[in-house]
Amino acid sequence: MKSRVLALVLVLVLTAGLLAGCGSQPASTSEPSSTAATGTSSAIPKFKIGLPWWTSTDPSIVSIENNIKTAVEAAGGELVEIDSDMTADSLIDNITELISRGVNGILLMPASDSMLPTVDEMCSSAGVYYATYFRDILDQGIKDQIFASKYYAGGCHEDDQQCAYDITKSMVDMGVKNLCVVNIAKGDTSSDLRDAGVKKAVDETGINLLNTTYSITTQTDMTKTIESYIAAYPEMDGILLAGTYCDAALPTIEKALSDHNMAGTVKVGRIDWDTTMGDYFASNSFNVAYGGQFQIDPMLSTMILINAVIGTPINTDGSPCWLQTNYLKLTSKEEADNFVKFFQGDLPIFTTDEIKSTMIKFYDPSINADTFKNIIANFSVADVVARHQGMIS
Amino acid sequence: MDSISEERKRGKFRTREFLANNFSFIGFALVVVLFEILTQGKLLGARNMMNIFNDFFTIGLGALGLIFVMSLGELDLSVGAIVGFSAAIGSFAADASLVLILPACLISGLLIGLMNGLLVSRLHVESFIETLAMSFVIRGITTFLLNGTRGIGIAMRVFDGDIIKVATFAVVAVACYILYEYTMFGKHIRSVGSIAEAARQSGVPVEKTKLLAFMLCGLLCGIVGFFCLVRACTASTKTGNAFEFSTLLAVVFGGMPLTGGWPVRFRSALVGSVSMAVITSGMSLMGLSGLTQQIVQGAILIGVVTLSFDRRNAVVIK
Amino acid sequence: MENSNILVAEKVSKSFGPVNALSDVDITIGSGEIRGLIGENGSGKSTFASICAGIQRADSGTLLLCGQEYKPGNTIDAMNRGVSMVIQEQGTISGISVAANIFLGKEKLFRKHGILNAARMEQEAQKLLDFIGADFIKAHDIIDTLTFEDRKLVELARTQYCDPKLWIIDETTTALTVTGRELLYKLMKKTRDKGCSVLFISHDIDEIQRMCDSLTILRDGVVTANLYKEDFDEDKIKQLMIGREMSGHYYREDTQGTCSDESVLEAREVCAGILKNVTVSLHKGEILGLGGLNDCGIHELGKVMAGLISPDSGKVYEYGTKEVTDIGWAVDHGIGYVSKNRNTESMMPVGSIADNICLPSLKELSLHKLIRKKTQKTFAEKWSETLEVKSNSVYQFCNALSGGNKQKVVLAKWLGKDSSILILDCPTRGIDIKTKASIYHLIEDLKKKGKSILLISEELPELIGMSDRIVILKDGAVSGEFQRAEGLTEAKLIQKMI
Repeated sequence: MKSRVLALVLVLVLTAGLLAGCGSQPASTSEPSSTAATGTSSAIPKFKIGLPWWTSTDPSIVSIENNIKTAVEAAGGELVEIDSDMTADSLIDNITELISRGVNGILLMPASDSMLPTVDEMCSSAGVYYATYFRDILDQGIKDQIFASKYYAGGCHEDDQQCAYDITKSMVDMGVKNLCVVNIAKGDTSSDLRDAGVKKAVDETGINLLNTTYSITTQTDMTKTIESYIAAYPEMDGILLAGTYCDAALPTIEKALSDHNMAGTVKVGRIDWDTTMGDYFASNSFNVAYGGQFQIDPMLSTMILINAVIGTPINTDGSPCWLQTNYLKLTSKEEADNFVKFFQGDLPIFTTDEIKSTMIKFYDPSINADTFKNIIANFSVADVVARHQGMIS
Repeated sequence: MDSISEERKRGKFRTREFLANNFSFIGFALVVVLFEILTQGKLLGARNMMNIFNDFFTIGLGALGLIFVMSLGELDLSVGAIVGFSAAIGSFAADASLVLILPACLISGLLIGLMNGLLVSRLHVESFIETLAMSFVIRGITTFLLNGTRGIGIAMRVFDGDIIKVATFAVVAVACYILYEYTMFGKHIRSVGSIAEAARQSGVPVEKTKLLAFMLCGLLCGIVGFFCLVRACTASTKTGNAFEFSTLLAVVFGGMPLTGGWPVRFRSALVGSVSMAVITSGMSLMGLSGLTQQIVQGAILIGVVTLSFDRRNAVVIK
Repeated sequence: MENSNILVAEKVSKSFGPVNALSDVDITIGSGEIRGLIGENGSGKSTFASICAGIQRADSGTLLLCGQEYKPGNTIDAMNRGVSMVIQEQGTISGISVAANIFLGKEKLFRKHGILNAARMEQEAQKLLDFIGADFIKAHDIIDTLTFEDRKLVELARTQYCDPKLWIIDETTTALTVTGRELLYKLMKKTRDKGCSVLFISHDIDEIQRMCDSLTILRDGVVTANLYKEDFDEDKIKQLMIGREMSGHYYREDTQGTCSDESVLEAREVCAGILKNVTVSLHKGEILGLGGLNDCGIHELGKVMAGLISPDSGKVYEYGTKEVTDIGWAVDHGIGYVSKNRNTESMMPVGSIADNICLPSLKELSLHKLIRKKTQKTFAEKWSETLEVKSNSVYQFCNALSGGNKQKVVLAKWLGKDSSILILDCPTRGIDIKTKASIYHLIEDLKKKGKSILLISEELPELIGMSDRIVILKDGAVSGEFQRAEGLTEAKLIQKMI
């Protein structure tokens, strides 16, 4: 008898809570009251940016997070992070949760084009802005729909296809005739574009594309893949790491190669930079890297989002601010070391002061899309070194 | 006239029994109170309750399916793969017509359940191995079919509405409850889980019962697949990932004995799922990283299994 | 002063929760004595034995072994002091050799510098087996190759190794055939003649009277009497066990077999496993006894006739023409099968009384495919009461019930289903006197109501006492048939069995 009463009480409590949740209207969007964007000395209204993010200690990941956080806090906002594995289902859940926690803007890297209309519907009905980074939108229909949305602030992306084409050509110039590729998951926009770029270069130069493996996430899988390449393709003379979510991918590949005494004879190139490149450049077992977009792309995307959230959108005509950031090329140890020191150190690529003075439209109404394009055009390893030389010991 | 020591002995006996019988509810109450405190009251906020329900919805349906299979004393580790597969098939059906999505999801779930059931009951493959192997095969097929991700029109998102989900869950839960407690089928399942040979000698169609239980589980996973599909309007190879662990954890936390049979309580599926949803939501609100969350879930699993293991009813010699 | 008593137990008590298994039990066993210990299920005899053997600790009271205080912490302790016990259930460990089983726990006798001398262990084991008279068992063999009985004999060897001062036999004889029992009796006498003692627990009054020098009777955890051989009297013993007069006959009263000519269940030229071209026919209203040695095929025949085993050739027919295809068909057509393995085949111990009783009758209990809890409860209560199952409620789990009550639940199940043909395989095995009597009564009642019963049993008195007709199998073939008659003796049956 006692147990039955207890059971009933608990069920009632839960049902009551549920109904309360059902019935309540979405809390009024805490859109900060938009004061006239006239660059007056009034403070920027408080805001929250939601960020679905990996748990990782990989320095690249950590530095991206650092840059985004600096950007958000430079404008006086709060960054709300939520654990995610970046799959479509996970992101949808993340967005639901972030919205319920009252964020004003959400920054996300879409897992596929097809999830964007859903994201748009969720954010629009909640009055929350959103911006994308690292990804182009390939499907024209979806692109048109998203661009037309009031709440899509814009974002950055790279020309993945061009980049892949360029790096493959570079490797061919180094003498590669039989190439193996490692890429991220199929269906991911970047992955598809990089595939296309590689294929274009391969078709043009007539070299052999031996194999492509997708979606490797653990080091053991990476080792196994490289070793099977070595075993199955004795003629292989080039490995292109076109993209991966695996931690410490490059060292894993290099170790597999050196275990089989192939380091140096097989040319290795990668898209997306990492901290380990320097030494491998020096020993000539690593040859070319295209990247450098890791920090600037998300950072600028964040700025685009923030400006929209605080009421001073970059584009005044309602269209999203859609920017293409460049891939930078690295071939030497010195450049790689500078990259590690200046891009992935404790200091973000743009400091709080730099951001405040050049990227927040609330303070400087003359900022527009061209301003950002200039920043992109001037951005390079040398640029960051020049700006921050004195700040880092 | 009993001595005082006798009375105290009996009292202790009753408390232990009370704890053992109502383990799932006590666990639930503890978890709610704990996380309410740890999240400074945010846990039971109106908006968050709906988040909890969304989490509970899929796990709860999966747990309902698992109850039937586990009452047989079997396991179904392919539930996640079935969800992913049915979502994928649903996305293909969407090309033909939106109306076909739901039937496609249900039928694909049913079919895999049928395969599981046949392999376990007719070919006598150990269910742990069989469903694990099946999950690899089905996930592989799903990856092959999807070749990335597939989207369906945003129009279907209306099905992700709160009212629809609450109503669907209520209907399915009630139907399962009736099936489990009040029909011959439900009793047959538990008798097979208790001692299959004894059930057989009492005239229970053992093989048919096992088959139907797996099919039912597959069907419920098909429903979950449908709702996953309309929630993101995308089917990907990651849909349903790790679903089998969430649901298994949920039923175990609800006090389900792994050996099945008569000691199984229907409510363990539901209470366990709600508890797990509360725990997940609570940990997320607390800002715990993914790794920490995994550690907590693992610790809970160990703790629950240790505390709830009922030695009296464990069948040692089978 | 030399104390001539092997065991002196004084005021030994033990409870399990609210249940008092033993209350202030005083038992004194002298040297050179075979002491019987008898009592109904739940009387406390197994509890007392396990306390002596070191399996459990008493809550209070003292034990003296040969005058010294005796409080064993486990069975190895007990064996070191000279007390060992053989139980009813499986006590050997699969997968290892006979020798390893015999010396389980005492391997260090054969260990030198950490290495086990298996050859020596086997040698010693074989010597032991020869000593107990089981030289046909080879110490080298893996135990799984042995029959249940031979495995039990290995246990006897094991317990004999420590040269026990007090050798406890706990209801072991029910699991043995005639050969095995004779071997055991010989060993018991050997032990007694050496000056040591045996504590012999059994349900079989005849056996007790034959083997024991004295007898202690327990009832509800209390000693009701200690009898010497000259005072042995079957009815008196029964009364002291149960507490009131056992009136009426144990078995059937009538001496003439009766039944109709209609065949209700027939095995026609069945070949299956050991069975060779067996034709046996059960008639309406008949109690047909089926007897034979352990491996002669009587149990298999029961399963074949119930549809559990598909014969290689030949068929089983119900009412002459309808073929029994499988157990599902059989149950639906009025055949109820009660296996001799109670806990693993005929019922579900981890299940309530109601669950067990209602299981075959679910279809009949359901209305529009649904079964109401109340309907189940009423049904279960009705049949539970009819058979006088002792329990708190029908929702109690069966693993808490005694063997006799469990069997009553099994029978209640088939009565509830109203099966007209019952195949009972060793229905009174390991069950106390009182329940046995009520089961015999029930069987007779069913016969009077026109039901037909196939009674498979290894207990000859039971077959002679209850059957209208007895068929004997030998090595899988029918070797003899006997009608119910006053002068029918066990000897006549045994002649056809061996």
